[in-house]
Amino acid sequence: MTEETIKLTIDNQEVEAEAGQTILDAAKTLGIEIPTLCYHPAVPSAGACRICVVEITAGARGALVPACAYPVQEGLGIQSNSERVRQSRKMTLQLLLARSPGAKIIREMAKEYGCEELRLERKDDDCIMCGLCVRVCQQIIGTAAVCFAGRGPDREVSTPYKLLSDVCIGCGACAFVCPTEAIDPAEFCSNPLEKIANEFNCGLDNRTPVHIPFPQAVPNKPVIDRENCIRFQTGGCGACQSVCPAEAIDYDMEDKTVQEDVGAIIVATGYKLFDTEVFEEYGYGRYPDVVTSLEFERMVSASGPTDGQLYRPSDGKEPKTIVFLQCIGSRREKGGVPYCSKICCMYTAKHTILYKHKVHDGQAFVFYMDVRSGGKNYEQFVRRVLTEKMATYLRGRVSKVFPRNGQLVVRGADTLSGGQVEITADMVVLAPAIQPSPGVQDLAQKLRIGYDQHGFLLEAHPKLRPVETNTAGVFLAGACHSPQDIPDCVAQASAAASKALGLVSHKQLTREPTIGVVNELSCNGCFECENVCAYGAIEHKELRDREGDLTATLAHINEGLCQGCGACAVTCRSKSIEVQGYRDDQMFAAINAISR
Amino acid sequence: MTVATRLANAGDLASLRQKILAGRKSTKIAISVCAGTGCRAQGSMELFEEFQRELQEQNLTDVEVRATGCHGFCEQGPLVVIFPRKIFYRGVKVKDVPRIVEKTIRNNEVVDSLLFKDPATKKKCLLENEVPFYAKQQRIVFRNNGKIDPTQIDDYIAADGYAALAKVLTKMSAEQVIEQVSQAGLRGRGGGGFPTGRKWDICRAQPGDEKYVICNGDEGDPGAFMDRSIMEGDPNSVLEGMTIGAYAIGASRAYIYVRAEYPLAVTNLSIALEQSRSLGLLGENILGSDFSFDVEIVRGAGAFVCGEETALIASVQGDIGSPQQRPPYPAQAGLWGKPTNINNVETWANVPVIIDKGSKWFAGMGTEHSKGTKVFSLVGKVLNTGLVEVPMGTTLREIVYDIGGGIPKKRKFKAVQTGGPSGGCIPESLLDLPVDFEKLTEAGGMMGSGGLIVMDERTCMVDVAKYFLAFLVDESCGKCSPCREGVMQMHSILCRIVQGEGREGDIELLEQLAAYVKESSLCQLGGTAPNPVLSTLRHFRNEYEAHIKDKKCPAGVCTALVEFEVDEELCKGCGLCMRDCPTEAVIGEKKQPHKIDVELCIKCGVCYEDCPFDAVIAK
Repeated sequence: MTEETIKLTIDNQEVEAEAGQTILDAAKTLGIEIPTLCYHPAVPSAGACRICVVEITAGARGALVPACAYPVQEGLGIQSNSERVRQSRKMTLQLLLARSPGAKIIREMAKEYGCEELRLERKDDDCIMCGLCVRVCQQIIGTAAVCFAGRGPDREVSTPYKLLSDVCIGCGACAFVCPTEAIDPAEFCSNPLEKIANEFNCGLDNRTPVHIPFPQAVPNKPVIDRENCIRFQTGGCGACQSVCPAEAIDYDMEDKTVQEDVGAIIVATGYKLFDTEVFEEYGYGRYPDVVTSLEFERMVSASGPTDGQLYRPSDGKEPKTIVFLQCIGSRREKGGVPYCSKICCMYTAKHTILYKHKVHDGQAFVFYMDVRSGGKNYEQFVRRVLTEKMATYLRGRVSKVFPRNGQLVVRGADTLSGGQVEITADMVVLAPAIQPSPGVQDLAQKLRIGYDQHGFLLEAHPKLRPVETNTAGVFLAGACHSPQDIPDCVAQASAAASKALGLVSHKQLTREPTIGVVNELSCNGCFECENVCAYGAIEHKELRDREGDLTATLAHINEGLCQGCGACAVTCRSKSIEVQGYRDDQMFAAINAISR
Repeated sequence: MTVATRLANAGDLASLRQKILAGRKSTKIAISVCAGTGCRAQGSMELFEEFQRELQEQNLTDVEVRATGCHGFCEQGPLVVIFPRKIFYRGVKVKDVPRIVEKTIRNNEVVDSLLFKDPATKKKCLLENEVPFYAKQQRIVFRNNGKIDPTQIDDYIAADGYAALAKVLTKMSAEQVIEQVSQAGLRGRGGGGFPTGRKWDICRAQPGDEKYVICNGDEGDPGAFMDRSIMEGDPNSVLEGMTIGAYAIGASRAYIYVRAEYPLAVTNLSIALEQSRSLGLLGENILGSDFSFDVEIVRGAGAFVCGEETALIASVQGDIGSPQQRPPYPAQAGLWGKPTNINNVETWANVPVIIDKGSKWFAGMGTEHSKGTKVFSLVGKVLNTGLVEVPMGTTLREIVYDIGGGIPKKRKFKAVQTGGPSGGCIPESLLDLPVDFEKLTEAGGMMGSGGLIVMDERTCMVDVAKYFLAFLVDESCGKCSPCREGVMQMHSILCRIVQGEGREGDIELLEQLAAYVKESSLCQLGGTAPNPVLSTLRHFRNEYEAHIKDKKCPAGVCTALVEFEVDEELCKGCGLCMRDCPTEAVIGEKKQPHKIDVELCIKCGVCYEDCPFDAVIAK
């Protein structure tokens, strides 16, 4: 069928619509708002709630019809907000208000229409029988786990025989479309889906399989988590595709391997936190009110799981006493890491300030080993915390955290006063050690760059080449190199970027001339050299005859990568590799000249 | 059944009819026992068997006993008619059988005590058409009811059955059939009154080869049994009408949607389907033409709303019987999304007669816009309850008084409720209203499927409105808010009023709700649901006011608002009320005027109903 255009008039404005569209669709293009309850763009309309009624004034029998379900017709004249329409909507709202006085959306709409006074017999049922849940489950998800049962006032949404449903996939589409929040699949699903922890919020809240990874994600667009997506796991659902107005969802897309030739690589793989659960004395993982500093950071963040409100995870109460424990795993030879994680002193000081901002009458304690505030203005910042009495700093380590009467007791040493202290706290925040990201060693081996015993990547020279590695063209930035705070990361990243740009900004690469050269007449292609080259500079060179047939594969040294270390030269059994400037004849000539 | 071979063409059908008729002498004695649901309930099947046994015993093998469809005069059942003289016996019991056989069958004498006595003239009526109940009727849809055995297709064929189909298939184009039906002015008998010819034409004009025809046999109105009697008593007329309609529309499949509560209708329809299939009147290449058509029975689970076309379609498809927003109309996208034409049982049964006798003949009956006849089920406070078929335009007075015999116990007529639960009540002042689609609607009632409930002075109109609303509250499908919530709220207001808790402003609130439900509901169940309230408010507003303001029920029905008292002048002291009173609240000596102890009285109303002298009065 060809696309037909249909002309109609809504509120005396002419509009063109396509065949199959509804009055509601046409009104939307004009920017005319029509209230709806039982309508959802992704779900076939039913015209059940009658709140969207509009008046037909021309082109068909004059009547009140539901805009959501009435197809556009040529020459139709519609009034979307006439007195007759408003009267009908008012009565609908009064009836629905009498049925569901607890439903927020009904109360708000009734207020808007000036009919919030309850004149009719009241019935306390949040479900307004709009049937969106039933339609979405049947027609979008294709499961039909819930349906209407009964007739008239006895009509209700139910699973068959009101039993727990074993066909319900627990997708929650019903709850999503419900205008009055009256349905929860957890109440009737025999096998509800497991909640998916929100990774960015450290699992403090849950997310849906389709989600935007974190607030400032680049690009700031949703992704589908295949592991948890019903569509990918069972072939059902597909709700997101039917809702997306941009038709951007394509379930058939697959991951692609992209291959690019590049001149430089900057490694910035970041860090992970030390697993604090191994230190049983602190009770992390056992007591819900013991959290890590990153979790605390999310809790007090305005974009976090609690919208910036600070609650105790166990009972949702505001923590009146809080204890921060520093150096959890850091500077600990046994069971931890020997190095200082560098950033914890400063962020703990920041956390005490944030805590005071949230809980004005709260009391914060910090157990520390040394306060290391090296950095511009850092010392002044810590000083401010101490002088303004944001927190009480106790120098010493904590031996045990344990629960007592719904609170946590922190027992530790105060080495300055020389005694034991016990603090009864509502919440304990641990500052775990910083470690390189998992898997960074594999990456280092691929890139042929070095790493230390803790897994941090090695720079070429700690003083002279701090962002370069021993492999030409590979640079380092951020916490993959060592624990760093944000200014350091930014400085290092800028340096790495400058170095990389310096490398690729010229048409030709300028290198030291002292690099290895292969004598192709004597190389027999054993590739022992390849095994010893630390920089991946040995390439395979194919020699071909006039017909193009392969005659030999010989070693070849990539001039850009070779650092002239000479490892290949000493390994080569046929003496086919020599380092330029250090060839045997040159060496002998030099020795001769000296000994003359 | 004389033959079971397929009829290859129209000629075969004609010769089959000749053969059947030749085998039946017009002087042959036949006993027609009404086997309609009403008479069955009063034991007519035992009567039928007794006749068979008695005739066998007396070796009267030449006499035929026929169990026929409903004769209509259910009040007087079981009914027996003896052909060829058409002697009409009423209230026949098994013990009367030997007498009838002995006197009427053997000796051609009349059993006087079984004849109907006209209460007005006190004269006994010998023949069926002498009975006033039948005299004013014109039986077109019921042409065969009471005459033929519905389980024998031969009977139907002998009564010119399937002649119209043969005519259509051999001589008429689809357009001509529609033209004929349109000119006849036939309108849908299910309630809406939409012109049938136009409906067929719209469906015919839809693109696509796959179309459906449905017969709506979901007769849900309380007290209505017209369609039931047609399906039970003359199923072939429905099938023939549907086949003609399908030919006109271009459909090859059809469904009959019957309530499962009509088991006899289902049985008789199934038999008719089987028999007409074996004769080739259904199936491939009917009567040798290239038209093929078949029908399937779907049993409904008894939801009133399934009489609504889109809900009926949903139900046939196996979905919940809930109506859909129109458009699309069933004629555009109905059953399985294909163009579908739905007509009511009575409409289909009219079709063969129209084709047979012509549109002029049909259009000659009735009023300007309503042609033909209409079957009404006349029930309530009327002497002769039963099924009544009268030409359109007959007045309500004729139906209630001439045919119905008036109100029993010499009480006063108050109103007649027409059109089923969502119809309206028409007061005495409008009794001379000629019954047709427009006039009834104007008066606040509606034709509906043809229920007529007569009410006397002892009927409370607020209570009546409450009763019908209670039915509609239960039968609303619950899909749209106005019907589900609105009718329920109206009902609870009425409940308050009859409890004596009516408030100032209730009438206005009822009117507001009624107007809203009428225009905002999704389907016509909601669209007509406020009618009982609107029509009683229109004609009996004073009764509402009496309930609300004076806390009185003028008819003495609403027990919360009534106190019973004995009129000492009228009371003869018969003691009937004293005997039946469950709380012994009636006191007094025999033959002395009684009294009612108000303390003990629970206002059950038994005395009020009992009293033969109307000496118990409600205040």
